[in-house]
Amino acid sequence: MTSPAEQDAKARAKRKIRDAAALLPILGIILLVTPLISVFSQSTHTGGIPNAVFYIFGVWLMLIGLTRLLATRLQSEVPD
Amino acid sequence: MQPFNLLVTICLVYVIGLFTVAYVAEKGAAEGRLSFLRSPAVYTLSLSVYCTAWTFYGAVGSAARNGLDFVPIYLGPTLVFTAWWWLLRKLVRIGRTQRITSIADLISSRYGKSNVLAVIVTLLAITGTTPYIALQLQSLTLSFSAFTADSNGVSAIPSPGITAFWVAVGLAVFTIIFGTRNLDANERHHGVVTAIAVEAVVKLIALLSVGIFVVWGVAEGPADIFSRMDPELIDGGQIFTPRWVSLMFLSATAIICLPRMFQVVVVENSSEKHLATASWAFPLYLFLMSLFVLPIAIAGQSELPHGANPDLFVMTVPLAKEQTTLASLAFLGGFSSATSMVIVAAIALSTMVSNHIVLPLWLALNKTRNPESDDVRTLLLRSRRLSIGGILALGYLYYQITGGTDALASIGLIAFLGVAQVMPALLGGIFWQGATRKGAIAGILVGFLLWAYTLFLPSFDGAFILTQSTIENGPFGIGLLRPYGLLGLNIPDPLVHAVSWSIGLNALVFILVSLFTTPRPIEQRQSLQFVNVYGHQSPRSGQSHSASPEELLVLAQRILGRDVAIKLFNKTAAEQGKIHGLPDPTDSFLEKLERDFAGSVGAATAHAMLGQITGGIAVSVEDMIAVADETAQIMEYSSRLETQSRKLQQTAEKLRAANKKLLDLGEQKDTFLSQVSHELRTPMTSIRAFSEILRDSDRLDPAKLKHFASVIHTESIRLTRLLDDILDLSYMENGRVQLNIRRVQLGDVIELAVATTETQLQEKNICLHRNRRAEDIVLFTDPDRLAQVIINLVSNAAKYCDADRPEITIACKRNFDTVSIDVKDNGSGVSESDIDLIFEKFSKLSSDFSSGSAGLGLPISREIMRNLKGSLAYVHTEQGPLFRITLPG
Repeated sequence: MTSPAEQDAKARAKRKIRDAAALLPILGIILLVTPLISVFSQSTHTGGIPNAVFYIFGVWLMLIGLTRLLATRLQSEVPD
Repeated sequence: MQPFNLLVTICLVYVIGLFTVAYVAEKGAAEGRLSFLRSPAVYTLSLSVYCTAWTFYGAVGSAARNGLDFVPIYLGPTLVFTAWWWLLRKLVRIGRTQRITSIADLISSRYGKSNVLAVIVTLLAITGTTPYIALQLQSLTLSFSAFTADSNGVSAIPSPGITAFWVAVGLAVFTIIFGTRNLDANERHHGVVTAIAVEAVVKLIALLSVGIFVVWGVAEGPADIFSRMDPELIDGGQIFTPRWVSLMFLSATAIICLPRMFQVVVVENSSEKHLATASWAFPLYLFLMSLFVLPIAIAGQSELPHGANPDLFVMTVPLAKEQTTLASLAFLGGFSSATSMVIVAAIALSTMVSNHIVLPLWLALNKTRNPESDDVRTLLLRSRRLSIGGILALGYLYYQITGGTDALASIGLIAFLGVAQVMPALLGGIFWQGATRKGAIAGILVGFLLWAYTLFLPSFDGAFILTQSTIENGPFGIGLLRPYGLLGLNIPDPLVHAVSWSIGLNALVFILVSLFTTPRPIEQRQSLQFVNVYGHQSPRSGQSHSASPEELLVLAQRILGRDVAIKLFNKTAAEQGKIHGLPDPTDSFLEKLERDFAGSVGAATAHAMLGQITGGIAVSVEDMIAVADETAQIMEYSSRLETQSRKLQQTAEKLRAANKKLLDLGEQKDTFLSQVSHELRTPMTSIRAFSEILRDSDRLDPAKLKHFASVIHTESIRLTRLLDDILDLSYMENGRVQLNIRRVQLGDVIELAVATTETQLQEKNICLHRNRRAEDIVLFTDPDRLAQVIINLVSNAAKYCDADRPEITIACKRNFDTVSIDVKDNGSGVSESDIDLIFEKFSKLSSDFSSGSAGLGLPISREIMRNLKGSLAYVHTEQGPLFRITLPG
């Protein structure tokens, strides 16, 4: 048996993960569909590859990673 | 072997392989084996029908022309999949609980099973998909001819038209075989989905192989390939443009609204858990698909002769490097992309066409037939097969008419925007209960018309409906109505222009009309089921019931309560002239029921519930009972909560009062203790002082000795009296005092008191007035205690009376049920500021200090009177102070 305080903390953690999952698209939109994109992708190169490519594909990969992180934690809450 | 023959052989082997996979999967699913078919991996891979030949070949072409323009086409879906938790999961849940078969079905079901809406969405889907199918056929024939072209650029294949025809026929056969094998209740097609998953793997491997070959085979690593790039291709500062946002929006919309995407995302989904995996795995797939797009485009531009078609770089770059195997693989990738898209789109569209157009028409034309018979099943299967054939024929026709023109090349995004018109109604439908059918119809129609006028029709460059001059100058030369500059809106990019107008007005009209129209009952019911899909987990029972009195009674009992419902039904039955049984569900009875229900569940719900039952619309009585149960539970719960919170409040109030009392008592105790110690100190000090003198002085004359001893004696007596008083008071306050109640003459009691105080009165030369006749009253009381009170009052009066000729009067009077004894004197009495204090313990009044009294007399007297069920009060009269004892008569 877990104590009510522990259960409470668990429920709070779960809720935070759900909230994060709900808000993730907003992060994606801020990073990819706002003028912010121009700030990080000025026409310079890093190791021969344009920064714009680095930035877009990097953010993309990060979003995939975050989604995966949250999805694996939420997996147990999804019915079959 | 001739390249053409080789190609045909490859295709045939590949297609036979696909047929085998589909067949094995179908068989395995039917026998319940092959559980991996229902794995998240297969689900994720099947989503790749998003990547059509247009994206497989076209992404590279787009990258070669416009740099990063291709990226939002993949990023939009990525953003939607990061929103799986609140968007896709809800769609999938709705799809399952409502048995949704297509996007048209979803929209129509949400807005009250409206067939008008279903037909509109179906037509919209056909309009948007047919050109898209034509586009796939075009990519296929293009890739065929590119692959088989000899060094002079002359293709060996018979004719593009014939290739396209046979491809269309082959696809129709495959789709009919595996897409309409049976009428699955869930509309899932395991064979097709598995074949699509295999094709997804082929696509990915093909593109990755070409990409790797280009980066490390043609060039020497990523840096090298990017160094060959035309520096103007990517302008970092110019990435965020209206077009970027529009493309992102369109592709995000497409991933849900395209009929084929809805088919694989929602309809073919067998578990919500798969969505959790696909949420990251599908974006990863898209990521990998687009990773090498730019390098291939750059390689094509730098390696191939100027003027080569960038749309075919994926295949022509390996061909130019004489990598025939790799080129074949790329060809197969494109082939997979095209075929999987056409197959799924055809299945999705045929479902819509047969469910929403053919079947309603047939039912309307054959009213006499029994719709329960097997006729419908055969009809549906047949109509689906015909629809598949028809859709592919339409696509082929479209290809034949517009094939090879630029109009077809740009059709991908145009089609996206066409189906995107469903988006406002879809999102509004699952998140906004107030969205109505009329709003949805109006919004979709407005969006559809604007899309057709500002983007779709002009895309034919004057060849279809709109003439060239209309496109340039507006209809009848009205410049404000130019399709590319509506109302003078000057947006250079026609796509952005069309997105702003069609989606903007679509959403606006949808919201406004919804706000100003009232949904029909079935819409209200459905909107509740859609918006609160997580709250209603009860699986829907298949067939609806028509209203019977028994069902109405069950419903009424759940809402109104057993007794009320039965009484109501009996009364109505009697009014209808029935002696036994339940009343007939007449209109007036239903109206009455509705009014009664409205009191419990609200007017809207009541109307909806009865509307469903009597309307015989496909919402079961069980559903309504479930709603009624929930409502009853919620009401009971909230009333219980109210009671509890009221109780809590009362308890808290009591606790607060008790706490205050305790605090007061604690304070009183502290004050009391300090006062007691102070009072005890005075006699103790003098006793100590005098006893010390007695001890230390050897020669004291007897007179002095006697005096000191008597002082000690007096003080000891005073001490004892004080302690007695405190004990007495404490006993009385606790109600533990022993009372000796008996029948007495009031006169005797007063006599006793006066006798006790006589010395004191004489000392002060006080004149005491009594009226003995008035004292002739019989009482039941404790005479000693009463006498104590009177003694106290008289001696107080004697002590404090400051008149020149002090007088004390004792006046008795019998009232209706009480007896009062007034003790008054002609002194100045208690000063006003002290009135409140005189009954307090140890109160030191300002006027007199040296009385030798501990200040317990009046408190004790008051306590005695309280114990005798009477009272003691101080009254200030003009003649002087007055203490009034009141006793029960």
